Amino acid sequence: MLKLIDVKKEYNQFTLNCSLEVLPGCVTGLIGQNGAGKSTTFKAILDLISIDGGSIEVLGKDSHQLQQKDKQLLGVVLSDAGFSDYLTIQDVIPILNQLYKKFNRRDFENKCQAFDLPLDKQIKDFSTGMKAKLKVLVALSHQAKLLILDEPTAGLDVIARDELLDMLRKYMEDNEDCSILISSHISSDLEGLCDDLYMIHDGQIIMHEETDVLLGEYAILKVDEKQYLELDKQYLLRHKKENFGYSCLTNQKQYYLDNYPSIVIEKGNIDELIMMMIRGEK
Amino acid sequence: MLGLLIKDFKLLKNQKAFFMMLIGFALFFLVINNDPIFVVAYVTFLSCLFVVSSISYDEYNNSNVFLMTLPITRKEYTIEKYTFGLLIGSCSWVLATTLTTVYSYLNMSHFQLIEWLGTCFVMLLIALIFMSIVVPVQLKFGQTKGNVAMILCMAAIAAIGFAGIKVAELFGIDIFGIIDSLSTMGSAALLVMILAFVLVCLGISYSISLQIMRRKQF
Repeated sequence: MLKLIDVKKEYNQFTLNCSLEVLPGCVTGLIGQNGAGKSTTFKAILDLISIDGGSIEVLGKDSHQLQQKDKQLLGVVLSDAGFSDYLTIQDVIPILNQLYKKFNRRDFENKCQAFDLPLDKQIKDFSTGMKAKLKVLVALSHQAKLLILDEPTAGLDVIARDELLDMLRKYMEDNEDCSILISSHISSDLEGLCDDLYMIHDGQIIMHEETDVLLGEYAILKVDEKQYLELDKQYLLRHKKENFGYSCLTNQKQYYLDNYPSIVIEKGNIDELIMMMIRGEK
Repeated sequence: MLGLLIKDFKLLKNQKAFFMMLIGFALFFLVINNDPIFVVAYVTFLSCLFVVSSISYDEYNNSNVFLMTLPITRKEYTIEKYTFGLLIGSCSWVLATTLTTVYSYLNMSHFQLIEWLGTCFVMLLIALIFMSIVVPVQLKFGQTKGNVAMILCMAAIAAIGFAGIKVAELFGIDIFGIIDSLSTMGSAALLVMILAFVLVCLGISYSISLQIMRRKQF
């Protein structure tokens, strides 16, 4: 569905160097801090910026060669861009109807009503949540094969985020051969949705793992100085000095459970894993 | 491309007040100043400027970034801007010409219809030359820098024109004499020449705009 191989983009004080793949039927998450390179990666995929090296394949084609008919199969949400704020949903409907062959007008209108989005109000008068919902509804309105969603839940409250994620889950249930690449800096959003996760930091992919493995086999060991010295370190990915001793990130939780029954082993959530990957030392 | 045209016409609704002002001033100039050709020029030029405002609307809130993810290419976007400008400019020109023609026919004793329509047509062509300068400047520099760039652009054109005349004088070529001699060609031939010149300007303008769009980083 989507393949980035050694994609490079150089700015004055930032370099993106990224490889990732989204497989058919999979939801792939891209997580990282603000400024880590998520949006740059999305812009490169969508050919909104030129790249300085590597290759990007979207739906089997070089992203630079994407034509109108290929773009029909993409559904896109950008964190900081959408239809003009001076349009209403009523204005947007004929535009989408004209641009997308498979645009389902009735379904789109029904969903807008279901999500309490007024059809005759200018988008500039929408709340942040309403704008975000509209962006996702637009991306889902034309049976896209690949959804590319950059921070679709940014600025939303818990309820609105949950509603949005439910929409995406439902879309994947109804369209099993579709794929999603989604980014968020709220990792809990991605935990329950993604099949695999890429972690990006300073423009580099620092980790790629299936979500189940990440949640099941990764753990944080909390040890004092003495325990740390005695610890077998071959399965430690990162370690970080703490007041009590050390926090250590491992992807072999069971090994340490079996061999070091006395140490504290916490099943870390993704936020903690990110913190360890970024702040910890190798 | 039709989707983009729909978008631009929908956005045009937001400029209703400006439209009403345009019509109001046009009627004012027509009735009070009794200057129909000024009305045709005024309405056609300002209408061609709507293409600039459509580019500004696209830039506002990064809307153009999102537009590039829709099933359109950068080439189609560029073509659409010229199509929109031509449509809105031509429609306004037709309306202004019709109104002023009727007015002139009713109020002028020696009204020459063909000559009058020829003059009106030249106004449309000049407006299109103006549009062919404005569109690439706006696409390249955007709303904020676009105004300054436009002034510099006009100054550069004037400077090039002035320098051209001076260089021609050095080689003993009388530019104004050539322009005067054009009037002996006959109105139809002159009109065809101006039309060809406008088409060349639009062609060059489109090529520049396309290159700007192709190189644009969002």
